[in-house]
Parts: sequence; C-alpha cells; structure tokens
Amino acid sequence: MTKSTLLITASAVILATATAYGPAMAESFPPIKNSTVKTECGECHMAFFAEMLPRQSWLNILNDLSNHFGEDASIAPDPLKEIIAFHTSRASDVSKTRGARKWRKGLKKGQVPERITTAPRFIRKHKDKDFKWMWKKYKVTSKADCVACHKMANKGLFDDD
Amino acid sequence: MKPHNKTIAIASIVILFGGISSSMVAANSTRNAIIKDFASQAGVPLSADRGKALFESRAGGGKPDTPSCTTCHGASAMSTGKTRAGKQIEPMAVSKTPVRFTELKKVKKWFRRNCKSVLGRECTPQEKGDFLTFMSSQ
Repeated sequence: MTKSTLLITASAVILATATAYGPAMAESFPPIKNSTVKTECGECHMAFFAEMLPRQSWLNILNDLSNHFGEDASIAPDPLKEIIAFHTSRASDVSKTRGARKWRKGLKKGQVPERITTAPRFIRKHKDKDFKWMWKKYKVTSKADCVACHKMANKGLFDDD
Repeated sequence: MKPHNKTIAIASIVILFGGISSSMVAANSTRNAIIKDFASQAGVPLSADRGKALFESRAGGGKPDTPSCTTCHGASAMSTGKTRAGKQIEPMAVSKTPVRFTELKKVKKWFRRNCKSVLGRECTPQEKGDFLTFMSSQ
C-alpha cells in the first residue's frame, strides 16, 4: 500500500466513523413519543426532556403546575398522572441514557434544581460571555426557548452550538 | 392532458375544496354550539364589544407576569403572540386561525388556566361567551 492510498483509506475510515457516530456523539435524547406529554407540555414551550432533571425536581414541578413559574399550567388528573410517570421514569438520576448521565453529572448530593436553567449542566454550558450576545442576536426572550438557538432541540439534538 | 384526465383533475379539485369547505362548516358549527352554550348559561345576549374590552383589559388580580390577555396573545386578536417561554401563539381571531374554539375540552382548559393567570379567578359564562363572540367576529 502506497503512502497516498494509506492516507486516503485512513481519511475514509475517519470520515465514515464520524458520519456513523456523529449523531451518537451529539448530546441526544430519545425523541418524546408520548402524545400526552407532547401536547400537554408542548403547548407553551418545547416539551423538555425528562433526562435533564432528577426525579425529585420533576415531582416538585409537576405537583405544582397551578403555579408553574408564574403561570397556571394545571392539568387534569389523568394526563397529569401519565406525565408524572413518564418524567420520573426518565429522570436524570433514573435513566441510563447518555443524556441523563450528562445531566446528573455535577449535581451535588441531594441537589434538586428548581428548573432546567438552574441545573449544573445548563449553567456550565451557557456561562460564557458569548451567550449574552447570542441571546440578543437570536432575540431570545426566555431561556426556556431552546429552539431559538438549538434549531433541532425538538428532536433531542443540542450539539449545534 | 387527455379529456378524461382533465375531468379527473377537475373532479379532484371539486372534491378537495368541497372537503375543505365542509370541514370549515363543521368547525363553525362546533364553535357556534360552544358559544350558544355559554349564552344560555349567561342568560343575557353576548357582546363582541365586551369581549374585546375583556381581551384588552388590565383589570389586575391575577399573576404579576400576566396582567392582561394581550401580554401573551399580542395587542390585538389578529396578532401573533408569544408565550412567556418564547413559543409562538397563533392569532386568536377565527379568520386567522380557523381551528380556534372548536374543541370544548381545549376551550375549557385554557379559560380555566388563563382566567386564573390574568384575573385571579374563573371567568363567568358571560365573559367566556363574550370573548368567543369577539374572536369569532375577527
């Protein structure tokens, strides 16, 4: 094998690997298929991924929806039960997915973030000065509006930053 | 285009538009039934003007972040709004968003939530009926 074929082969292998593993390397969450979660959570904001917060955070949030960060977001008992089951079974300290593992990293023992934007991973990933500029550029009115910058956030892909 | 193909094309268009207009008729009749129900509960004739005033009012009593319907829905019924979490809200006006107020469950849910958020209480059947009468006229 000549030097150049070796180089070409090596590049091809690297490229193929990058393509094949690209999405897996990204911070990806399993897409939400539950229609109750998609509708009920997704009407005011993107349906956030349960893997972003520990179980207790979800219990606190979902059991206090009539005062949901300043708004009445109360849900009828049956869909609420379904949503709680969905979130607590996929929480960052419960799920074995890559996304969950990343989001529970940095949580202090017993730490229960009030919301996603106060979770250690969110803070760590958005602390640079650049973000102030980006938030302005994309006219982000709320940090809850993931899709303002992460265009594929709805599909669980956040690796476009 | 062969003549029979042309006939098929025209027939398809007729069926398509027929389908659209009949679904709109169905939507309108469902909405009207919802409004009629509020009217009978209210016991007084409904008013689009009162509905407009309610939409625009800043009566207070609710949560500080949502002093008026217009906080999230935009200045007028025709406006595109934005939730506090940044998600776009289609205009409330039926002429702009024809599927508005055609699902009773959804209508009940959002009146329950938003009346509490904005006014700090449930809305009366008259207020709900006025509101829907106004939005249907827009």
